[in-house]
Amino acid sequence: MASITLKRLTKRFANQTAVAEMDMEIENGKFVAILGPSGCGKTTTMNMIAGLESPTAGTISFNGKDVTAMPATQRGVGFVFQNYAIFTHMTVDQNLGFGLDVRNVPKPERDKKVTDMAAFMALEHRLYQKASGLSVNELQKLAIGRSAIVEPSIFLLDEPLSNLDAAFRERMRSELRLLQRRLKQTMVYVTHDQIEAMGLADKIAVMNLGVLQQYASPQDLYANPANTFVAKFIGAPSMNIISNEIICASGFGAKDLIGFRPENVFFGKPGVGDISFEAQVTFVEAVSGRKIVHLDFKGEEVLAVLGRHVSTTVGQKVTAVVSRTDCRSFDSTTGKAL
Amino acid sequence: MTEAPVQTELKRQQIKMANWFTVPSHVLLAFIVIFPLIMQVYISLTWWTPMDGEPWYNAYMSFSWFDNYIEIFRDADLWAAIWRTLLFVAICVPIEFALGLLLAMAFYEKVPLQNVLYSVILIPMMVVPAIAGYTFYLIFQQTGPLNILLSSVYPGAMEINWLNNVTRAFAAVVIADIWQWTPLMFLILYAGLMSVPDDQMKAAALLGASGWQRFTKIAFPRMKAVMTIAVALRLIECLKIFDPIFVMTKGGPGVATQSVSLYLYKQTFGDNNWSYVAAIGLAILILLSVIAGIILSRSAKSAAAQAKAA
Amino acid sequence: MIRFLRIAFVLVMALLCIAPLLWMLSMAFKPPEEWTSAAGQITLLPKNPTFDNFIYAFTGEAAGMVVSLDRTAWWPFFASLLTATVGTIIAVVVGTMAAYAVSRHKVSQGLGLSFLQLRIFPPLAVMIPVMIMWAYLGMIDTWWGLALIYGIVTLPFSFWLMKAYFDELPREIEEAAFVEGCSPWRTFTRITLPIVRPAIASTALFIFILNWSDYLVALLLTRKEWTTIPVYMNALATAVNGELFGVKAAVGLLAIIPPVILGISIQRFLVRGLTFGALKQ
Repeated sequence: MASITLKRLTKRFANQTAVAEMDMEIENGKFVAILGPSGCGKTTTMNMIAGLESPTAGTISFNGKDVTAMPATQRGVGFVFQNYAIFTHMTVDQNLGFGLDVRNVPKPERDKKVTDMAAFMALEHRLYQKASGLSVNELQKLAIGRSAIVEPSIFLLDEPLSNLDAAFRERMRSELRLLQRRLKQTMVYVTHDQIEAMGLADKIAVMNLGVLQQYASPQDLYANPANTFVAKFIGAPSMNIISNEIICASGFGAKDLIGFRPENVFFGKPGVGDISFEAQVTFVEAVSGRKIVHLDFKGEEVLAVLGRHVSTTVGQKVTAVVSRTDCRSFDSTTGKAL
Repeated sequence: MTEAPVQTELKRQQIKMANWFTVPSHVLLAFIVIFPLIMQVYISLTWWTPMDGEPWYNAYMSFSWFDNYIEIFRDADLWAAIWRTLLFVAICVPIEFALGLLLAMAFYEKVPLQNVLYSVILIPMMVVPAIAGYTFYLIFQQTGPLNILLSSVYPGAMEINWLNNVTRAFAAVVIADIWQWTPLMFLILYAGLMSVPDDQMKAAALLGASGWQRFTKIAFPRMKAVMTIAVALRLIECLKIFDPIFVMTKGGPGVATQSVSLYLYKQTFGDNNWSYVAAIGLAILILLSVIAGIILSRSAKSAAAQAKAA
Repeated sequence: MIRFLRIAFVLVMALLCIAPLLWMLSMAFKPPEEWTSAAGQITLLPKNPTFDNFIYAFTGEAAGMVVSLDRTAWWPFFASLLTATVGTIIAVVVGTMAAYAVSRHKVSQGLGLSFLQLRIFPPLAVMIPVMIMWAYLGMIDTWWGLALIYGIVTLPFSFWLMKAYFDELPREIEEAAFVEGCSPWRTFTRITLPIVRPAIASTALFIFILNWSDYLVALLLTRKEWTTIPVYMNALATAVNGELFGVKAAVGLLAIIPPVILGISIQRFLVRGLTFGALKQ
């Protein structure tokens, strides 16, 4: 187990900055997700932690020891690639034992570790088959087992669930969490899927265009987004953000952006201090037990999430109400939370 | 109901056109394979040579039946040439393979001026072989650049005669072949090496494998097919070698560098034993066809076995 | 350290690849007195560089040459160009049509194998009957006789290469045309051919290089009129001047420029070409 510290980590390519001055501390044994849209720099950050790419500036430390200059072969990092990178020309046994074989671990010890790991991953029946014949699920378990067997201090996973179909993905999510708890590893998990990150991680680092936007627990990210990007990226559907020039709510700056989550919107009479506005229903989506109602408010689209039983019709005029405590304000130029 | 007839009519038209498309190929093949083959069989059973003054179809006038073929077994010079050719191939191909592989591995990581150096290294194999032969003829002259360079470390170098010495001439043609064809091995092996999936190499590195281990455990096993093709190609071409040796030494001194092709040339134009050469040619054809047949049926069997196991 | 060795190795190899050609270059510019001389007097670079070798090769007269050439290099260059080009056209046209037929409509499956066999057999094993035939048909020392055999001998390459391309071409494109009512011939000429045009170009250039580089076949099938450059160059000699080292070097140098330039321009295609379409870059 090891903690990871990134200090002012930067990676520049000829025409762009992939990662800009990232400061982050990942504690021992925690499950941290790096979340962001494609091109945000999350995979580059992970490659630098693994040693597959070298930073232009900044340092990386494991347990306080600077490893920035250390080559990838020596870092003791477990890495699960998005397409698993299984050695398809070898058997499952050879794949699992690879890390031990290159270290010349004596045969009896090596074989025992391999059979143990195979049992742990429920792959014993496939041990002597060629790895190319495995199902996607088995390949993923093999990839994890192959990395885990050499007892790395850190586990890095690059979008490991994106190859699986929706049904499996749910199952694998919980299996991964259980695995992390059992192995007691520090896990860093890269994904673009915020539902996945919110469900799995202890803390999430949200990135966009190479810059770390916010690094906090899922609850914090949901309730107190640091800027409009995080506000819109987290949550499905995402936070409504409207300029105060349109809502004209008191207590906020005239030009500020007001944000509130669709789940906090209800129809009816506003109470004291509540913010309300007149809107018209344009479209209703019925999704697994709740309704996502699209409202038109002075030309802006506002979303509200209501229970199944609330009656709505297209064209209906409603009074939408949000409690003041559920609102967040953002600076209109920088997007930062106020 | 009308679908089926339309489909089959279209199919019929297509097959008709396809058959027409293969006619030129069949004609040319007949021209260069069938007819000459018949002629070759005919001639090989006679003593005919153009010096007889008779046109070839009158060769029956000097039938010799299988005498030419028997001669093949008794001809010490032929077997010496075969042995020499095999020796030549046994030296050249492994060296070209090893050097080509080393070069491919050297190019695996980035090299400064990579594109320029890559193109430069490929140049030798694009040079006309007969002219490459002449180039090395010039280089191996007693007063040539090789001796000039050598004489800076070994004073007596200017006395060394390459092309008139039995062993040194052989070495010279070997060197010329290695120069010309190592780039080909490099080209093919490099392409094979680069097709090894990148992230498998990365995964191996992260599991602690050194560069050498990555090559032996990941890259090599995946390059088996490519390496086989490279070696097979080079082997076949090397056995046929003629141009550079002919230009450099004409097979000499004596017969020191006389490969099978050169021996056949000498028999044809030096000794005018056309019918004998025809017989040898047929023997080679039959032998190679049998070998090729065995190899192909073996690989077809193993491919079928692999398909079953998978 | 390893990085240094690696780069040094590559540089040394690149140098070795170029060095022999540099010597040819040097010889091409040397006057006759520098061609061979007593030990120690020959130098790497010409002491008195001159264009005379080139002038002599192309005009037959030059200072320092006692006797003039009876055949200048113009015609052999033309012979090489003509026979290589026509041979390439024959190989590409016949091979592409056959490849299309075999790939798309599965006729004459044995054709590919026959072609492969053609490449395995040593030329001299089959040239005796070819020489007799060519003589009988009056095709010795003619440009069409040589071009024809060039076409046949390189046919395997165009067949296997184009077959690989046709195999990769999705059928849907042509099927869409059939559905529209296009005849098989029109589909082939209007739709398929334009798509594979770049492949045909690379294949043609590759085969041209092969034809241009031939020596043995031209040696056997030409006498005086239509000797190609490699044959002409190696036979260059006059009774009085003896072996014309410098002139040969000059002609040889010019002769290797076209294939080298073409080869570098289709560099990416070479792996495919040389492995009969089996491997790709």
